[in-house]
Amino acid sequence: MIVLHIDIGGCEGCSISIFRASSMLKDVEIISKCTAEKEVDLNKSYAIAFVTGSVCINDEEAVEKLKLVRKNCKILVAFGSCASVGGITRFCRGGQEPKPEHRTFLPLSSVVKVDYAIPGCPPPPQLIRMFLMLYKRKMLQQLAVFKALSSIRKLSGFDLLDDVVLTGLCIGCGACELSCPTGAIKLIGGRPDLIVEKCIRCGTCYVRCPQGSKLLFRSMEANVNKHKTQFKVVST
Amino acid sequence: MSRRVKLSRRKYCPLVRIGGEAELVVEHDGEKPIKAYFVTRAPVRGFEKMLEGKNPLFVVEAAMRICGICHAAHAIAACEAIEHAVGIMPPRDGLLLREAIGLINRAQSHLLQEIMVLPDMLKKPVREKIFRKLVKLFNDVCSLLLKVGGAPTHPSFLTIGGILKKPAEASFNEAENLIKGIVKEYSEVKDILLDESNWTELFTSLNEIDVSVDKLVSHFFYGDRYNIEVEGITTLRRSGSDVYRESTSNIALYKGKIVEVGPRARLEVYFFKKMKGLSGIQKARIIETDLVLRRVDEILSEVDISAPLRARELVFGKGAGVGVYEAPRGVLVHKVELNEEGRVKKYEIITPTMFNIPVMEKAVTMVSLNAVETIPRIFDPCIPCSTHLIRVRR
Repeated sequence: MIVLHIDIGGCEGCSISIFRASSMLKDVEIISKCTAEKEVDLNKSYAIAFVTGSVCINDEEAVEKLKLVRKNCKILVAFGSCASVGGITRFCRGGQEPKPEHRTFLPLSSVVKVDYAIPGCPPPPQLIRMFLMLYKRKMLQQLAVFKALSSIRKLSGFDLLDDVVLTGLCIGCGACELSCPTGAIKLIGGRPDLIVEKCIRCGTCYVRCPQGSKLLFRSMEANVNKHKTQFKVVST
Repeated sequence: MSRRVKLSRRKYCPLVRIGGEAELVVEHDGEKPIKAYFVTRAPVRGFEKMLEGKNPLFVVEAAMRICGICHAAHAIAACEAIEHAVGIMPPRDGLLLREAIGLINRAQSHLLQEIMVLPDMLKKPVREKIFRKLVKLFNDVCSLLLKVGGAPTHPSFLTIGGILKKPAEASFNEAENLIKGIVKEYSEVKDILLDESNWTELFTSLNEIDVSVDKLVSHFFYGDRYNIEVEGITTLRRSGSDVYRESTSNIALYKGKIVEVGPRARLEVYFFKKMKGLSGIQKARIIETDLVLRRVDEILSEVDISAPLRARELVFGKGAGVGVYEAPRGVLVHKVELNEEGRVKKYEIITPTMFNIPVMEKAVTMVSLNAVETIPRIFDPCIPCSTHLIRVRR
């Protein structure tokens, strides 16, 4: 299997994760500028593309590059929090030389159709190995949470509070506290408390939350059903 | 799409095997380079602007994410700047652990660069074997950073005042054993990398070519704001060519002059080792990786993790501070001004790549056309770092 990796505008942390994964993979070749001998040809077709970094919609070149990769790849995976849900780039506000117009950084799904999204800051290399193994064996049901995430455009500790804690769904398991990369979540009285100034909007807590991931499946099913209903209306 | 003025004697080289997206544009006479431009194309995320109005705790988490390669360096420089601004002094063991985390990141970054430069440096027969050894070492160093720093990328234990969380004792003991194995294995790899009989012809030819510029360095293992004149650093956006129009990074000068920063500068100033030739920069990096791993071993044996690791009181208020730290690529400076509430009023960052860009461009003009792409790899530029920042100064 040949997998393409490109970075659109990230910190390269997710690129390092992909590089580390490449040494753990059998029968998979990752084409990436980190290890390529010459420029990677984006005009070729690839089965899977892992795209890291969020897309700056004020940078025409970055947007065109992303669209080209989407056109030429069967499956596009938004890898890392910036690519999936925006991550730290959600705080970008532009105004900085030499390109003050670079103001708005969005998750990839805002510009192109994304097949799977894997948040994390960065996601560990083991997750790439698991993803590719399940994909190769066509065990797509096991990848449902990443499929559900592909249409989510924002996810943070605030969403965890709003959707899980304040609705009474939280079971106090502590998965959010363990998974937070900045230590922004602490359990107080058996429920997560968010240290607001440490939340970098990576979405990891929500994905790891057993209730949060159920909510993601439900929103995916609701979207699918809505599409089916609309189709029925159009066809009659 | 980008509007380039294509001239017949211009070679456009999109660079691979460096940290980020960049291109080398070389004007030549058909035989040798006349002028070179190092053009970065990554979008400007604008961390200096992003941090305005933010709480200092957020500053450290965000600054780390400027770069996924030299993450700890930015976190430490940010911590140093804020601590200087409000007068916080971390306890001794907290500082030791912070030094260790920074050095593990330095080794991690150097190992990645050594992997990426292998096709330029080593002959094919020995390259594959060394590639596998370096990748294993890289993964081991990542495991070490997970145990000592909290994560292999963006180590969460780094915080203002010292260390956020005490490493688990079992994990720390594993780290003490792991570093000893890493030191031994790297020492063997180092000897093979430094053996010039294993080098390619291209790399050997770089022994005789060099750029003669002054070196700037503040410390060997950590950083020292009092060792350099921070006010002597200026940054500017270059002009004079259509090529610069599309570039997303500026350059930095020290007292108006181009200076080299990084491993060779550190080794020459602190160990009096003169590393001649452009290949000397790579040799310096390899030697430094060995020294740094040995220092980490020393720290992990010396540090007392049961002692206080973080300053007891953190009070944020009005102040201004500077953090100077030796990142893997060289001198890194973070400057902060805090308002009455202790939130960021102004933030500036000067990265080592900004110093090295003009040195790199000068070096490219000294080699043959077929060797130009190797030169940026030897200088190890970090594009995420150099495209986030710097206000134009006059």
